Amino acid sequence: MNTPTLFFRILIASALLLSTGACTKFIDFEGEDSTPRLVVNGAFQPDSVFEIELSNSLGFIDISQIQPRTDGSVAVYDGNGSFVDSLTHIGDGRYRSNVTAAVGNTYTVRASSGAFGEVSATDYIPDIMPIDSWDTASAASSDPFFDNSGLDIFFTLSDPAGSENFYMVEVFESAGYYIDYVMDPSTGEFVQDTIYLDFGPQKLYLSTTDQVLLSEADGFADGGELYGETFFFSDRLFNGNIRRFQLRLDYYSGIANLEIRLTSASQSYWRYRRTIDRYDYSSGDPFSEPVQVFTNIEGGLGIWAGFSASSAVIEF
Amino acid sequence: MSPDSRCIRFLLSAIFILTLLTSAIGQNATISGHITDAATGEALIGATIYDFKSGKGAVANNYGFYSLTLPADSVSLRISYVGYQTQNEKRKLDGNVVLSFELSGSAMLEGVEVVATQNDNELERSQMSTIEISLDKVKSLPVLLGERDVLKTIQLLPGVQSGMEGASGIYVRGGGPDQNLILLDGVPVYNANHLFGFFSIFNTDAINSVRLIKGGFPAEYGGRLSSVIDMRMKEGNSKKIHGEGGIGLIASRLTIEGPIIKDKTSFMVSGRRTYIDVLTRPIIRSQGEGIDGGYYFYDLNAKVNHKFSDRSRLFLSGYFGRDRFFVKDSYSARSAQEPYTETLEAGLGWGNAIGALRWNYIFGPRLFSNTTLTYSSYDFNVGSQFESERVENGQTINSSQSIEYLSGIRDWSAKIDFNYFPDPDHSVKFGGAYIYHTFNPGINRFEENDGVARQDTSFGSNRIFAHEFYTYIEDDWRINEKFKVNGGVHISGFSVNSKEYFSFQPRVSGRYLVNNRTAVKASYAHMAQFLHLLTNTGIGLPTDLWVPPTENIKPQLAHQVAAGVVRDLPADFSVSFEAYYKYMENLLEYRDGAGFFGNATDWQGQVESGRGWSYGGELLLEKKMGKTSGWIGYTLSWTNRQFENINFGEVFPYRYDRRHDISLALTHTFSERVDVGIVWVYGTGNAVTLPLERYRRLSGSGDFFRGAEVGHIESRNNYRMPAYHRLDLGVNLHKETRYGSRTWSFGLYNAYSRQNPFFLYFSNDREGNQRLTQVALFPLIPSVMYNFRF
Repeated sequence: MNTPTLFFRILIASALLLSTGACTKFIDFEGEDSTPRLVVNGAFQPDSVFEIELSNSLGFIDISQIQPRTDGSVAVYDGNGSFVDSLTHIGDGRYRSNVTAAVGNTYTVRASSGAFGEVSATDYIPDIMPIDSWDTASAASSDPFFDNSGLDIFFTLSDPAGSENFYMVEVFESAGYYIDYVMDPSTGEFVQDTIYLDFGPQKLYLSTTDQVLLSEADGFADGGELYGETFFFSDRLFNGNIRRFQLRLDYYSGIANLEIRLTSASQSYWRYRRTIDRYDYSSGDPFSEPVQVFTNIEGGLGIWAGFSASSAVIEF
Repeated sequence: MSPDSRCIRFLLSAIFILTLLTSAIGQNATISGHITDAATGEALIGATIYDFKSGKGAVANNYGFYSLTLPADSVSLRISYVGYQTQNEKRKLDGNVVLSFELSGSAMLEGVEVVATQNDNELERSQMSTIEISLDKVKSLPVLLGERDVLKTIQLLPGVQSGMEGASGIYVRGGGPDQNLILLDGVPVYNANHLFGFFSIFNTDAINSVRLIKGGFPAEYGGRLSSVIDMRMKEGNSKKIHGEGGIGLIASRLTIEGPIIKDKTSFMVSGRRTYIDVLTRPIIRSQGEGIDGGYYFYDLNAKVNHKFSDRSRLFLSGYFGRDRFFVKDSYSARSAQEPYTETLEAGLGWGNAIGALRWNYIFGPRLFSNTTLTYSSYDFNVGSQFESERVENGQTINSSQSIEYLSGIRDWSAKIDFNYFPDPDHSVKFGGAYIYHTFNPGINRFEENDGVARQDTSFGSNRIFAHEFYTYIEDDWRINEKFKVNGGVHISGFSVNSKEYFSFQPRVSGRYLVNNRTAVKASYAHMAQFLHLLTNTGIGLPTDLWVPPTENIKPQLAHQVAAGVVRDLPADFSVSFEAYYKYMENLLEYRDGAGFFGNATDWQGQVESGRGWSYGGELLLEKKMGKTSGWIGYTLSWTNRQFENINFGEVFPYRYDRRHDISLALTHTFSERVDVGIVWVYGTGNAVTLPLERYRRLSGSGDFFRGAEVGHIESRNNYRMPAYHRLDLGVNLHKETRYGSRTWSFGLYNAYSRQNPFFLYFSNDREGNQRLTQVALFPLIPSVMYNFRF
């Protein structure tokens, strides 16, 4: 049992002791009568069609199911306010256009549904930021059980000068192979063969001691090391410079391909994903500070934001 | 030149200049001495001496010392102190003279009218936002479980807010719980809480005086932004052995004081211990074989002082207190072949240790000095130990594992303070201090012995050593009969990990006497606080951690302006109104999602630095004398915070932003044998963060949370808890006994059993509906306590 756990147990025991005379009662909740708002969720990237989900919010203690809005009217406009396309309902509150988004462009979404008034949001697609180069090195795992099975991944990024840029980096394990002895059904003998794995991209849990990533951390660092599946960072500390970043896999089997995915995000997309990440991390912890999830929908809730992604595949 | 040597040079220069000034004033004569209690010999802090002929006066300092320089002529003196019989003395003054006065308390003098002077002091002094706490009030007002508590009485004053239900944490003018400089005999106390904040560590029987300063801080104080609570322990009765104590529902206390050498050396020892563990242990033990546990706290105050001469006196004082929570579970398998036993013990403990060695020396009738060496430490530890013993093949094998987490802070300091009284219109204070801090922000220790090998590992943060110094000078200057100004400067510095911070803090407060019943006051104070307290619960848990400033986390700063009016009313009433505005920088707040108990090495990643401000008005209607006495306080205030990365940079209300705060504290004496106390408090509910809506989140390809929902929080601290109000009633029955006197104190805490919110959470009712649920800690709680004096 680690120290925090022990402390919590003792604290809970103390709280129970103190609360022997405590009274619990249901009280009126002012949020009970909160007026539902239209919710728009849509993220767009280069060369992909616009797609959003339309629903409405409910009061926090309302136990009814949130229903998708299927009677909505959704349209996208460009940065000059010119009409781009009208989105068609394709089922379950999802609306899709036939037009694709382009890098560097700004788009505004306007949506309405039933008695809900029109809501809108505007955002842009930042330039794609390619991974200039990458390399790897074997590393000691922080878990002694894995011995020296860790892997350090390094990648280099050239940040453009004069603009504020926001990034997210993730590593996926996608496909791979290994060689093993398998029984030949025709002869019944064991022969060497290549076993291919294709399990779809799986996001990996990472750590880093990279100072830029640490400085942007939301406090999920431990002992000077940052842990997580997605690292969020801005160019605040290296604006206009080329920088080499370090990521670590605590355990890498060496039999699957790795994909480094670098997302160049608009500030809205970055803030949304970052706060959602934090929301999930602290969910269920009664002692953590509650998390506000970012929204940029005027008159409603949700997110309308752009991003572009680049990746590098490390094949083994 | 180092800051320390600069400080010493400054002090030596000041002493030299003052010595020259003293010798230059030849045509006057100085009366100086001490004003003490005739019965106990205790210093009467704040007692006044006034000369009717010249219209000049002086106030006794924290050691009862006064100095009054008057023209060499006949003088007509009045020496007074609230609750004591006033003394008058006429004499011819033809040279410096030492005159000490012993005033008799009202209780000793039946039929003698006691002149109220406290209101005179309030009108007279240049300082504002300062309240002297009457210990009689502390002892006679009803409190939770009958445990008298200085901090809970302070909570009843305007401008001071309590935090959570039942807790003794205080929040002054929008400041945090870490922004209060709590001094016990001049030594800072780092954690003033017992039992997770439900009781303070201060044993009222051991306290001689309490002063609260909320603004217009004199230059002698520094290091915290929002308040100073200056408590002085009793020196010990120098006349005769005396004792007092009490037996209550959860704790008992005993204080003994008396002379070792009459009028020369005296002592005071005071102890208090809870017996919750003794009362609950049988219940806990009945839960199963081998199960044990409990909780207790104790305090020990001690002081001894020796008077070498009228000019030289030495004090040694100390406080030691500790909370301890422990659980134990043991198990035995009584197999004849292979007996096996195991024991698990876990516990947490925290406490303060404070010591002060003080030497008062009077250089001359106008120069008083006080040299002090102090020690203050606070530590917290939580740990568990597992031990087992088994027999294998006839051999006994013992194994053990223990894990412990330790954190704390320790200070050593040396300081020197001077009071210089060049003439009746000036009272100069100056001095300086050096403090050596050792921060222990969290060390984990793991020890294992499996019967074969032994492992002992420590990991976590390293100790941090820091140096702090300050120097100050202030002059309380009576410009004329109407105007009085206290101006000064406090200069401080802090050095940690090669990073240095300096702060220059001007202070000024002034009084204008409109007439003999009304005074108008105003003040400005700039304060700096180098230390930060990491706390995200706000309820004073022992895990709250003091940390130094760093490269990124700068010292907290505050600017406060205040203006007010004090007026004496007929029938011993007085009223004061003060308006204030306080601006604070470099405040810390936990980021969204920050955990409760993270590793201290990473605390900087969990907090945000930002600003805050508070403004409002405080009204105090008070009656200090008579059969019915007490006060009504009302505070109207607004307190906000703003952080770049919290609440998306928008302004949000502070957790303890309290629009309305009302306190009524009254006592009425029916006779010498019966008095009653009433306390009623009302406060706007605390601000908490709750989601009001829920909605679907963005789902992308491969998104695990497709269709998942989020709770929408419009703003941090967006929701108000229900208002807090409570009525406490108490009655004290006094009786003279063979040995002295006794008092039975009966109390009703929360007399109409209001369910005040402690915290809120969402839960489901029987029908499956989600509801907002409130937890209230204390319903109506009766108490009884037996107090005695001998």
